[in-house]
Amino acid sequence: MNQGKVAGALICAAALTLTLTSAAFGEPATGKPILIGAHLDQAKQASYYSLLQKDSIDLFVKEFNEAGGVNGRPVQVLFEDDENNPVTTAIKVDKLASEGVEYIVSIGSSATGLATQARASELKIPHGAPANLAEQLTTDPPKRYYFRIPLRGKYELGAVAQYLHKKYGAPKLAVVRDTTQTGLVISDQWINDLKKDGFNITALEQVTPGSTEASSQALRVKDSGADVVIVVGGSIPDLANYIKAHKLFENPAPLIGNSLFTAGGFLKLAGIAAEGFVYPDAIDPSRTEIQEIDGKLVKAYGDRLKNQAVALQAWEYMRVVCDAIKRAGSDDREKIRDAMEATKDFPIAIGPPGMTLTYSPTNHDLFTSPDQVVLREVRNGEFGPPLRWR
Amino acid sequence: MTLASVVQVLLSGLQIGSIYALLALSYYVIIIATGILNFAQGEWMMVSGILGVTFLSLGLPYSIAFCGGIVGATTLAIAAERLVIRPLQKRQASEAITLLALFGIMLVVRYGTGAIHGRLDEPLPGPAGTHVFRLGSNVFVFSQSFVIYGATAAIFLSVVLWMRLSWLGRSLRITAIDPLAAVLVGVNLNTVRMVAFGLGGLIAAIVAWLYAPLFAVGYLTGAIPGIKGFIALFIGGTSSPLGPLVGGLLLGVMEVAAARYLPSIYAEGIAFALLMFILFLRPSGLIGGRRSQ
Repeated sequence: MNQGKVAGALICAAALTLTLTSAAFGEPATGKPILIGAHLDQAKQASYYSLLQKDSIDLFVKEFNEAGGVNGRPVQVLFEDDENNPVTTAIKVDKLASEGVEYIVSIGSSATGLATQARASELKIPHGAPANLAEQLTTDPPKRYYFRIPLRGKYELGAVAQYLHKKYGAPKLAVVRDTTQTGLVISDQWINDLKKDGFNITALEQVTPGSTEASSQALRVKDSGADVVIVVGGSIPDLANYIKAHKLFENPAPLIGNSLFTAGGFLKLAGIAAEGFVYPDAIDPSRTEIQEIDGKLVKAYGDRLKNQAVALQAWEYMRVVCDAIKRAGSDDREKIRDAMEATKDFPIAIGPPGMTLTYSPTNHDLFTSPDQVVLREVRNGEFGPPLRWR
Repeated sequence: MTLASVVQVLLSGLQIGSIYALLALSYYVIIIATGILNFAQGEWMMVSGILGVTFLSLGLPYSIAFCGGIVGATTLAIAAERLVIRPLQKRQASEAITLLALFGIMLVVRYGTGAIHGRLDEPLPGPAGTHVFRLGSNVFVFSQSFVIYGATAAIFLSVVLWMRLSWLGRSLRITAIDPLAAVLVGVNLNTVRMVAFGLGGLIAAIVAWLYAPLFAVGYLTGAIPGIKGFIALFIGGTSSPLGPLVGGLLLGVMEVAAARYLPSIYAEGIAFALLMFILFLRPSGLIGGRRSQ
């Protein structure tokens, strides 16, 4: 037999095997990058959750590009510091637009997310947020270019209200908040909606920012006779001080908070006082998909990314956006927008098991019902598993 | 208004008031010697706390972390004076420029620390642990609170004695009365300024270890106490160290009392309301006198 022919056949077989193998695992993406813009708060009050999302996005994009990117093209994210200022945000949106981004992701505060929504809509750039909660971001009909996946404020509150009715009947409520913009916006919304739902709010207390303890507020809440205390806001040290004072004065009223308590050092700051604290979450930590993503984030960044809901949401949001860009088959912003809106039954790790994402011309949110909201409890010093209360 | 609630208001008010008083004192020693209002005092406090948590996370003993945090923050305060303020003074920069420079230092230190260390608030253990003492069911005081009361008394007494008995302290007082006369009697104004900034930084650095165990330490930790210290200084007046003490304690007690006996939404504004009221009645502050600025 001709040795040259045998060698040639072997070489072809090896090349085919290698090609098939690399196709199965994905060649790293090359070529002209697909640009996605993102604005975040690098340094100010929202930075503690902004930067968690950025880290998650960086890792997702690295992994995504290594697996082949969008039809062989890498994704590149251009980050801009919005300084937690809506005016600055609008300027940065213009800058990203001029740099040719195909999509803009808002990973700052809801206030800057609203500014992006206004400006990016004018510029006809598809955009959205993985973790902005503000109810004002959802409109009827939905803003044409805006898509998001976080808990909607009204469903987060809706789930809490359902839980309160189911577990306590018609409890008297006290609301404790901090004086950050987030705290005031969220608490005002909660108070309005809780009152509309028939709850009696017997006390509204504000924690003095920077104070070493909140005994005055805790005593006033205790004196009000509230059956349940709602703790809402964004300044974790201030609210942790309230929770500590609440327990020190042996107020038996259970504590329920908003979803922002999972970001920041709440468990470290509140210590054992956090035990039994109930809060709504977009994440069910028992889901294997969540454990897998969490594992990757912890491996890359350490424990500071462990169980961070905003980071997990940012990962999944980028997965949705990149999938839409793939389906659009084009850099064209309108086609990407249309592909986002056409997202249907997309399996997503956010929410309870089996959750899928479906957008439509009348809905640009992931969460469409309070029944999809997970309620969790702090147990043994950790953010615990979901409560089975429904 | 029960006796228990009054006792709790006093305990809590004196606790946070002591923090304000110490920060006001840190402003005071600088302003009387140099006429400069150093906006960065809150940031020295923050840096001391951040250095502390960093050293503790590296496994260093508490005492080393404590000393390291304080030395680090004080060094930074002195460096700010040598590298920024002194050159401006040599060039006879206007007060506005100096204030802007100090404001710039405040921002650079604050956001630079956030960029380097991170944005999350972290706990800082206190020297007295986390024990809680109860007096009945509606009054509690932390072990750390006694540390705060004691340290405040000790620091104020030390500063007063130092200013009366030491040569440098007397130089500071003379400079406050008349800088030209101070030069004529051999006082080196550069040295006095450096000592004032260093002492102010030292006091602010110590405050971190009193305050942070009951709150948290993060890159924004110095912002609000810094402002409250500034307000306390002008409530009390700048004619003697008693001014910051009275201003700080009064501010702390009024703030806690407002949160207890009025709707707590007013507590935050009480600081500014009190300042305006006092300055309307006594523009030189409660303890203000002939030498007040």
